[in-house]
Amino acid sequence: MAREMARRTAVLGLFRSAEATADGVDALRAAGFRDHDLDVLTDSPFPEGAFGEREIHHRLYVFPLMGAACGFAVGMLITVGTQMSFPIVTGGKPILSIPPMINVMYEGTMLGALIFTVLGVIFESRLPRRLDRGYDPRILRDGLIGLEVKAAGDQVDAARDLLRQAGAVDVVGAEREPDRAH
Amino acid sequence: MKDRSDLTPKEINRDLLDFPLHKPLWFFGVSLVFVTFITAGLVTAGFLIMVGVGVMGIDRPAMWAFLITNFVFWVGISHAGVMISAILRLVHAEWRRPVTRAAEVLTVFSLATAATFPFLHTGRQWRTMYWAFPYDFWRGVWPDVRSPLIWDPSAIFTYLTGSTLFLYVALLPDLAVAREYAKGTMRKVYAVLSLGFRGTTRQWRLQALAGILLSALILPVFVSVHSIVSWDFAVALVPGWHSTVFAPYFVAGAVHSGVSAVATIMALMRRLFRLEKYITPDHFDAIGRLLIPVACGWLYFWWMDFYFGIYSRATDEVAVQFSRTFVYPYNVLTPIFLLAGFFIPVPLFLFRRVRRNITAMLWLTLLVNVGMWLERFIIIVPALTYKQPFSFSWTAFSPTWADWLMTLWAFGLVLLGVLLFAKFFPIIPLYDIKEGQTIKAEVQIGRVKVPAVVRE
Amino acid sequence: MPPPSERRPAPAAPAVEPAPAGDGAGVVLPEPMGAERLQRGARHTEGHPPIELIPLAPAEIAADAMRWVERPTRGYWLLVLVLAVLTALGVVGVVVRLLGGFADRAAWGYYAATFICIMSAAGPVPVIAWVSRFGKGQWALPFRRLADLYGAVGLLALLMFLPLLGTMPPLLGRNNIWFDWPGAPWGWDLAAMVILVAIGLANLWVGALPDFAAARDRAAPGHGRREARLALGFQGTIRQWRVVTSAQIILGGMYLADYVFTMTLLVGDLSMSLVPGWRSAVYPAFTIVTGFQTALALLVVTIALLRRFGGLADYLRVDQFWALAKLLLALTLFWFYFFWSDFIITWYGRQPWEQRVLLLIDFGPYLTPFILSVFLMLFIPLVLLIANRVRTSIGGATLVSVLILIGLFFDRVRLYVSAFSIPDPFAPPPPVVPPTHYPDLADLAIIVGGFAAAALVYLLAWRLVPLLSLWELREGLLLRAIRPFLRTRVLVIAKPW
Repeated sequence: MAREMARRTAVLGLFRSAEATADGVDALRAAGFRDHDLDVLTDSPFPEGAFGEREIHHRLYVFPLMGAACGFAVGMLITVGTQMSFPIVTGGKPILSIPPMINVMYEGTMLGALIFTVLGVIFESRLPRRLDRGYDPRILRDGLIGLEVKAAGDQVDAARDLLRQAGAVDVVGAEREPDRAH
Repeated sequence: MKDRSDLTPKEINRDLLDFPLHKPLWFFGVSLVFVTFITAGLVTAGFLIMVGVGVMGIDRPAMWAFLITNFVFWVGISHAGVMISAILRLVHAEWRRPVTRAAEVLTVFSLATAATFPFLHTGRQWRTMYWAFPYDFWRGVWPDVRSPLIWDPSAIFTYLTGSTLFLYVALLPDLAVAREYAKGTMRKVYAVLSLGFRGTTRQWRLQALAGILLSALILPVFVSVHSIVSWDFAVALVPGWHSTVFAPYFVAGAVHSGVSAVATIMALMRRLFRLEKYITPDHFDAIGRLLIPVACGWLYFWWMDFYFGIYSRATDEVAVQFSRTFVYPYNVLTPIFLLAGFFIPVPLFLFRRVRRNITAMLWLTLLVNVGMWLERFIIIVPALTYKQPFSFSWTAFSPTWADWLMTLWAFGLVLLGVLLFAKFFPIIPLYDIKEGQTIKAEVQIGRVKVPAVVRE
Repeated sequence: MPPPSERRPAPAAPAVEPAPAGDGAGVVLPEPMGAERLQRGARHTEGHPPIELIPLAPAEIAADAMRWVERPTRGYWLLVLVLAVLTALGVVGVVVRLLGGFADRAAWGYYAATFICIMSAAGPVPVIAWVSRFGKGQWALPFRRLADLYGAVGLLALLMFLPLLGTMPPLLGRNNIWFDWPGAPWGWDLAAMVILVAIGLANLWVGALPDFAAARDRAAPGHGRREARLALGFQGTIRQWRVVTSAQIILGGMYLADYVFTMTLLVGDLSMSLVPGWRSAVYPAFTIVTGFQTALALLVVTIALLRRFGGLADYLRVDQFWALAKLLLALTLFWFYFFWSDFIITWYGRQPWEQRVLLLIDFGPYLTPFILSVFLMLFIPLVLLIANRVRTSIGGATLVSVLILIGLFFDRVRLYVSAFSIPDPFAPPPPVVPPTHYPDLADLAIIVGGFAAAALVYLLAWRLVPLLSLWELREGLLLRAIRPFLRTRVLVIAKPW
């Protein structure tokens, strides 16, 4: 089934204080904007729920498990493969020596888990991403807090007004961006 | 929690990006010194390859000496990163904030440096490919995974990859900040490396989760790496090496030397980068307190190794322990390493005045690492120089100029690596410090306002 | 001084401070806007439930703590009676053994295993409380006293140790850790046990001093003489508080050091030195670390039972089980690490004595206990505890702990029954591997009676010492508060150190 792409605009309000930003979130919600239309951009983490934002759903925990399985398989392949390919008894140990295999397979498992976890973090963070919309360098450079609103049609002006009323020092961004599923 | 200061985000950005964005004169002078060490080492390595491993002091039966001592020592130092960064993240220790990245960087560079030593000491380094890489290169000969010399590359590769990725993921937000301050080529580099990080709540949540997950994953790897390095010795039947306690003994020693190295680096960073507002006596107090149980654990394992070495009353085992303790030159080196590694610094760490004195902590932690380097040497060489039933040639070990230059090379490589990293990336995590400012609080108890922190 | 960060949120309505101790006021929690995310059952993205405070006033806490001292329930006395009967059964078993003498060391194997189980599980529990004090972990406040109380079980361990002195053969002619030191092993092992028990009891008493004083002052006229004697006139001056808190840290550290020392001696004398040729430097550390794992498990089971049956559900919440489960996961991994450190070296060496030792303790007559211990102390706990849902659930943590405790018994059987069944510790290595020594009726009575006696001693200690550390809980109330933070609630923890 083809997905319809609704073209929406990302409006970004910049605030000096966290309290004003939280007020802005409240005002936008009261005006009917949905949770997944709003996002807060900061230069450092805040306690979860500080701005009343929605819980994030992610599948990050799947990645280390997948990676561990892949790493385990590769480790087993290398250890069993090399021992069977060159079946020579060394040090009185059996051809297929399980304790040494465990050492190498363990490292392979952990390597797989680590690599896949990092890939998972990057993927779940929706990176890499271009910065041509929904962003202003003053957030990371000057410590302002960004409140991003995705709006369509008349809502764009309403969003801008609400952001200014909430105390935004600047409102930027009118670029259109496709709706992303969350 | 005594030494807290109020800082704005701009101040934090300015202070912590000062060194990456500017070029103080001392940077060039110090870099030149390290480059000199490295050059001397490269020349020595070239000489070693051309002439043979005999240019080092090694000779039958002491075929492992300074190169392997350095290998073990630097793998040990690399344990700092995970100990400080991962464990302190998992227990939400507030004092970790300015320390984690320096510890992680030290891990990456010391591990990479350590990996060069077994490579060099083979004498014909190009053959390492045939011995370690899992492919038979048309010879029909495959690596022997039953050998700990194959477990080593798998462990070190895993730890190095994991540490580097851990460092990179935690660096993402700061790359984004650096992107906004840099100009020209560096701006493009930061832009590419930061992958478009914006600081959304989702990205911050995932950063927090990544910190926990990666910490939990890398901790078992950290324990396994130095254990596998210890098994290079322990699985062999060399008297004095074949001991079951080597794995925890080496890991405890690694944590001891690694955490001490982090304290040393912190003291130097505070001075060179003018980070007095960020690295305070509180941090040295905490590190000093951490070093006490770690050092006690290390001493316990050392004692177990020594005691159960003589427990068996086997002639060769007793002879090696005797040689380590009473035979020249080890009868001089052993008391030095015990004094330097434990009996001088640790009793002093018990005193709060000492722990909060940064100069004292700098010198004491350097002393610890002198002791720990000697400890690795004393584990390795006396056991090899003991005359065994089938020894047909034996000499006392004596280091040459090549041994000393390679040791110096390692210090140069690690320190230059850390310095260059600090030159291009903030050595203290910006967002971590900012988060610390956000979650600062106070609780009024009677007439006193007690510093507090916020927990979610 | 730079200006405060303009980004820090302005406090909402007046910050909520916990009521000072002693005035009986409860903690008032404001309802912040948008708090619907934090309803009971909601979880943080990192997987943990919201952190909560104990919703009780100091006077209520005092009443809960003194309940078992002042007015134990019928259920308590019934349990004491049952345990006393089982203990008596165990005593009968010991008498049977004593009548048989010490010539047949194998007959004492299960006795030794039971003793070591108690030393392994109950011995290190006070260390958990000490670690939380040293690391200033406030999550442990509700169960610090419960952990310290296990110091009382040391009295039983000391009593159980006495017959084992008769099973230790002379030192001459075999490898031993004493190098023929005079008085060894009997005198020195006994001295180590006595010192350990003394420190454990001292630690318990010093920590409870302020609470004895509180009980003395609560008592009706004409009562409270016992508490007054135990309180030694404690009045709560600043100097006295400093002495108590410092003494706790020092005594706890001494207890840890002496526990490590004592277990090293016991492992050597009751296991390793009875097997000709067995030499493993990591084996004492393995026993100590697995002891910490089982101590955590025992503490989890204790707080689960007290939460369910002891009326302490307001104190022993998910936070405590979550914290202990995380530590349990770490120590389960350590079980594997120390076991593997021993195994890989011994397996790799291929020396005859090494292979015989592996056969004796792992792959030969004690293969079944070995497999059970590996599964119950490693595989199953690891698989379960990796899941965040299990770590943050009371039932999950308790189930894992029960499995670990069962696994401990099999682990100690394979290590101590096997060593005790070696016919001749003076023979040259490699050792002869004897057949499996199965428990008889007397052994079963000893096993059941031994564990029952440990539980009995613990329960009887409740009659003397309050179950909750009142003064530490009150200190915790002062140092914690829940406050609004923008549109959420956060826990604020004061760090006065």
